[in-house]
Amino acid sequence: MDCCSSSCSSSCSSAGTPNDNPQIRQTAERLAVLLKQTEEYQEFVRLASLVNLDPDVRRILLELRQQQMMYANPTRDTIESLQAELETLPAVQAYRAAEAAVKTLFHSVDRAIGAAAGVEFAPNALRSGCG
Amino acid sequence: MDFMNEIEQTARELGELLAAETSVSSYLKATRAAQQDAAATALELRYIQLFEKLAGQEQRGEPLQREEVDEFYALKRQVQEHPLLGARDDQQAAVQALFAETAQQMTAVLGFDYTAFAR
Repeated sequence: MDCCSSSCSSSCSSAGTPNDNPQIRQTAERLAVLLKQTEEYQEFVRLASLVNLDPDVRRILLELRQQQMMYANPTRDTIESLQAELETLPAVQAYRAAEAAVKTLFHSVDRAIGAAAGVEFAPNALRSGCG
Repeated sequence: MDFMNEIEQTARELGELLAAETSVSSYLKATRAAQQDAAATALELRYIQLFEKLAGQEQRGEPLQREEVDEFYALKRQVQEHPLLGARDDQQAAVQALFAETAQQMTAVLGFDYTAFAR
């Protein structure tokens, strides 16, 4: 069933309003610079770089990749089991906690943007998928 | 100013700048016009309800009734061609393009997708 929303046909032809207001660009960049300075962001970036160096994480990711490359249809149980094992690793749990903290912060910021704009911001920050 | 307050204040400033854009005010106006039209609201509601019903049946592997599929496409066409709904969707597309570009500017500074974390 073709489930493209009612907005699809019209959005394809009219999307593309340029952001030609320099104040918007400057304020968006200033906000992002402020967010980069938060503890939440700093911790997330630190742990994101560390998590991929963890030997257990690397081993499981390699196994996952091998499963996907070697078998056209790797069993769902195997994949799910490896993913579950990955999530139990301390490095991954620390990364997930930092990720959740960044999401909480960004949600709060996004609510403030949306409340002032009168329209939800991130949920509407969509590129047209019709082209 | 406290650092978190500064973030909140800047977020509000950004929202206010976006609210001042013609595309945003036009979208809100078009949304109100569509909501106030009983026929348009009923048409869209029927379209959404039928879509959800058919999508659920499809997901469960249940057969779809030909009459309902035909009705779905007829409703879809009516929704797309409805002047109030079409005007709202056009304005929404313009808002989405503006917001996407603005979010992309934040993403470029942050180094990861802002919207993926903020949604």
